[in-house]
Amino acid sequence: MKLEEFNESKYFISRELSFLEFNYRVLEEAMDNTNPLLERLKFISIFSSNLDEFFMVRVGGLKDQVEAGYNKPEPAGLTPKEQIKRIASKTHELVKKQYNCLKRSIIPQLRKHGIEILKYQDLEEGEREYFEDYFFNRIYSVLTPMAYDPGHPFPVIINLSLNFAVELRKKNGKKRFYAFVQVPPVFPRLIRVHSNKGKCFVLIEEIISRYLPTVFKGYQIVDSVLFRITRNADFNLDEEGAEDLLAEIAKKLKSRKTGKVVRLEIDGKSNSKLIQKIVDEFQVKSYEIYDHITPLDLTFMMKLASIKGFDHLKNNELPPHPSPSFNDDIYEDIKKGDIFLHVPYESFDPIIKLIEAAAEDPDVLAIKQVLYRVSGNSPVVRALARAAENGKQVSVLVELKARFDEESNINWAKTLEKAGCHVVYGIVGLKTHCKALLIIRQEANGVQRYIHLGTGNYNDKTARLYTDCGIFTAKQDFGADVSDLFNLITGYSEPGHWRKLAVAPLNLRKRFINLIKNEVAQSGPGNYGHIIAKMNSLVDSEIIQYLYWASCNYVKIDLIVRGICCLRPGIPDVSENITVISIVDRFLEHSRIYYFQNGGQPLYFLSSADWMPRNLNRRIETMVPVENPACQQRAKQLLEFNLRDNIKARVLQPDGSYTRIDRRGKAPFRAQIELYKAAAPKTEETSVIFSPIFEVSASQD
Amino acid sequence: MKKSKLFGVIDVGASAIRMVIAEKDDKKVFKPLESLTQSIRLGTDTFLNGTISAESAWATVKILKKFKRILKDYNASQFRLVATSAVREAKNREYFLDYIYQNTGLQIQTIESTEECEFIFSSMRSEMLEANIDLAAPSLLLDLGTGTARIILIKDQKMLFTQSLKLGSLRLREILHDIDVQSFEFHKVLQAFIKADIDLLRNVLPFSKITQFIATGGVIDDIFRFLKPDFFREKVTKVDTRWFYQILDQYKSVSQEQFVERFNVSSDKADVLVPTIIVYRYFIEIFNPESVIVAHSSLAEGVILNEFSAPEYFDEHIIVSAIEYGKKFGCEEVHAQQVMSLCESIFTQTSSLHGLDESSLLILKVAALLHDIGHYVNDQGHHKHTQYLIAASSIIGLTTDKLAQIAAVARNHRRYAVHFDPWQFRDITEDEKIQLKKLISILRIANALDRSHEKSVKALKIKINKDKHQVTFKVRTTKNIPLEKWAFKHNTQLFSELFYVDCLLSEERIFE
Repeated sequence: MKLEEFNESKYFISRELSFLEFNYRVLEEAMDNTNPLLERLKFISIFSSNLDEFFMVRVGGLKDQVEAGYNKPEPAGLTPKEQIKRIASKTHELVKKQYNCLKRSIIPQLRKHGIEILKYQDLEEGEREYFEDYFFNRIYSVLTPMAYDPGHPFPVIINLSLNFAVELRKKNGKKRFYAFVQVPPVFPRLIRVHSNKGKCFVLIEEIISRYLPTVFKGYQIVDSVLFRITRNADFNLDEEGAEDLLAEIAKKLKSRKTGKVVRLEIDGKSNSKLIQKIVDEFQVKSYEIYDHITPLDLTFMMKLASIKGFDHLKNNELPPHPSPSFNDDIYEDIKKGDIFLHVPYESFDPIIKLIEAAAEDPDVLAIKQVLYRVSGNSPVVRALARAAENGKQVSVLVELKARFDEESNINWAKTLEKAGCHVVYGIVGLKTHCKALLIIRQEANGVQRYIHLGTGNYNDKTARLYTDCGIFTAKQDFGADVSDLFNLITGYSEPGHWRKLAVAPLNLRKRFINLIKNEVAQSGPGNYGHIIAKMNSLVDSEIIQYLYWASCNYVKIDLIVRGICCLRPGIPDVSENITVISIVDRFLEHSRIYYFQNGGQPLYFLSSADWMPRNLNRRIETMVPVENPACQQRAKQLLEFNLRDNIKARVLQPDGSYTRIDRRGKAPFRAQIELYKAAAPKTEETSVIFSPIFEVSASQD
Repeated sequence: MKKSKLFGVIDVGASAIRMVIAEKDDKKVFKPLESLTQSIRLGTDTFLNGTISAESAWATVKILKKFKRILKDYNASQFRLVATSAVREAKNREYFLDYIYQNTGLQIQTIESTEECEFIFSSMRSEMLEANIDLAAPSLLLDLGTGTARIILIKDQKMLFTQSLKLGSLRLREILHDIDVQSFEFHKVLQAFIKADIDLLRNVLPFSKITQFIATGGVIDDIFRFLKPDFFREKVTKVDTRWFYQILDQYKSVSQEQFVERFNVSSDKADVLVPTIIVYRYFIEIFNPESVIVAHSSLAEGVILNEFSAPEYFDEHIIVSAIEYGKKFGCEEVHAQQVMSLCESIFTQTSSLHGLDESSLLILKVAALLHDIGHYVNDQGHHKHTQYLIAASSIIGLTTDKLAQIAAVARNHRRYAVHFDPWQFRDITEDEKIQLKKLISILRIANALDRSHEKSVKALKIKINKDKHQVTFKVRTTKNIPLEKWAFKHNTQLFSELFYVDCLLSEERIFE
């Protein structure tokens, strides 16, 4: 078949439905009773937050398309309207499963272990007094009822907030009044009950609901209902002429609170008059309504899952191992040979140490770094600020457009600026998603550059939860490329010619395609080529078509795709030679590694990019070759272990569903645990005891 | 802080501003650290309107501020900013340069076309050396920039001759801006336009057969990076003439869109494609070389290479180029070389008297080589003809100022009162005048010692007595030198006056 013939819609899986499949795998982890109980609760929470973001961004975007009259089907053949419908029915089904799992399995088991969420009526007299105090002394003053009548417009309901809609009547009167009360976000969702029964909590809405009548003195509450809306938050920044990106983004953040409603969740029935008011006001379609959702917004379960103690209900700790490649002199270590660092199996410390050492090192001239998402009070940010105060030239490219992190990004960007760093806010129209660090040092033999290029953000917190890898090198070609990269993304220079890197949106797509073509060129009957690619999502139609074409031309393709995958494996004469697995485990799979057999001279690459149009077309991304044999060995092991997983891996079927691996006759193999063991220092015996039960922590990136 | 030799160069060109920062390396001469480019078409302003616009000046400041930051990253205190034709030819160049200085603190030097050629040659030569390609055979280098076409004639690894033609691709594009590039008319007009310039060039070239044709320049770089993926790394590639010609023919008709698409270049590079191709094609057609070498060259890299390499290296090229220039006017090479050697000998042996440095010696040597070329115009007042022929020349490596000084020294080789052209030397200080006079006094003696043009003097030893009152010129000769003796007597006066010495000549005959 020719390349163009692989673009039929039947060869593609709908991107949005594939996402829901992924989220279902997350939910499966919550349903899996071999996972520790509190870890299961975390998955309940992750499932919810994934869905929130999905509705705000993806469903919001689809709704925009429908409203704009855009009717073109996606590669899998569904129009925006059809997608919305299919998403809704699938989501209804999944949410039902989620609440079933929570109520029938997790909550009863939590109760057995003494963790309980109580109703008001379950409380004893003394406990009720405590909550009465809590309400009148703390909550009451913050509550702001907003009337809705001919004299008051419909109040602003904030995205993802919990609100009571209340129907009122004057005592002795007949006329109905309507009002809204937001559950104040400043209080914790769960309030601890001080009793000796165990760890007991009451939901804040439960308390507010009980005392709601006191808010409306002189009125009688006829009906009240708690609800939550999700708004379209997929804003397209008009960057053309956005002189001040910082100000522009701050402005857009405000508008996120008032986007179109894409989902209405109700803690109760949907047929009340009150709900009708909301439905009318926000023009909510029936399939956008999710009722009987009790309690609403399960993201708070993450807090409960992190409750102190109860270690027997949590995963074993897997503290990161120190990387054996780093000794005292970090520069000498890197100069000895490239170093491969794989978090969270290995510690993220070398990166922080490298920046901290550079900050104090009189021979360091300049530090340049791309920061995408960093943790609050990040040691990376502190070290960079320190370096600037010490008179180093520090250039930081801050990507403000990291979704839903904009607010915190703005804050620490300002901190860096104050310290004297040169902060640049990225290129107009392109999100800077690459992860790069460059240190320029004056040494006895001349200027030496040290670089780190990786698949994950410079975030010490997520480096303990996400699997990512990176390369440290002092090689000149890499250093020169990274210098050019910084000159490009800071707007200092137009792109030159890359020595080692491939950079999106310039040549990364072409590079990938050439690598696939090259694999095909070297393959034939009895001489199969081999591609292994590990990424978070596989969406890009062009790449998928090339993969089909390669599959038909004697190339075996193993894909390890954690999230969305639009490629359909196992179709006769199209994708017979392709397998796709997804691993959802205790660490969020995040590393992107690409392997090409290349006729026996294997090529390994690390990249910040997934095979998605946004990564290849609209973002600055890098791909770096892994050249050092020891580093290649690490990359190889990583891929092999992933492919051997038979505990947390699921296999994508031709119909788009995922199934677990048939383990009969095979020894259990869990990639994340095995990789952790393999990263342990070789000399000492690993002291951690691995129970067969481990859990995941996943959230959509 | 440890120190290493870093040097930065910013090249303000006709279509872009570029910066290169490099480090002097013990093993290799040159290790580039940074290389930046920002497109800005100062050339469009200058070539079309004659002046650089305010918008362009603003944009230039913006770019230079960024580049300055990168210089700071490396703590590079040594750097140089050079500007070529777009700035050089702008009528408001002084305003522009001052504006840049006031707003960035950076001083841009506009360099002359001969200097440009030097830098291009240096850069190209270093690539050739690395690629082990010999420059012994007569070679013609055509570096097609956006503002200027630079032609360099090379033989025995040295530049013999340079010439800059106003045939830069952007300039041609702007001059002919009202004709569609894709039209047949454009090709025709452009060819005629180029022909006139090339015909003139052919007449002055010292030899007609070109063995190697070397093509350098931005557009050809882009094409070859695409055609030969190794080109980027190798930077030099030797190709068959016919094949090269075919390639050019093929790209002649490529549309701008196709070019952008295929080569992944920006569209402003694409619209100078056609003029570039036509110029190269025409050169190949006319010179019909045996082989073509496509090489990378960079003005900025050339500036750095010259900064890092020893200065004598360039003096050699200047001398060779001066000899070539002399030949054009039928000058007697043996006499010219003899006077030059004698000048050098006197200069070095009397340094305790004159206290001048190496750069003065170069002026003296070139003046010695060319002092008689005025005979070509007319024997009558030949020294005056010598002066303007030198001043108007474009000898490699010599700026207009230097040429004026050489011209002045050469003009005054005869034993009369020293005369400086009042117009050319209106800004000259007394000190500078004295320096030139010192050189003149040496040239006069050297010329006297070969008055018969027979190269009789084989060796010269100068003895200065203790109190520096007396200078004895001891010459070894193979024959009687009555004429030289006579001339010596009449040509030492200036030397005596300047240094307060008596000059004596002593002769030692040797028999071969």
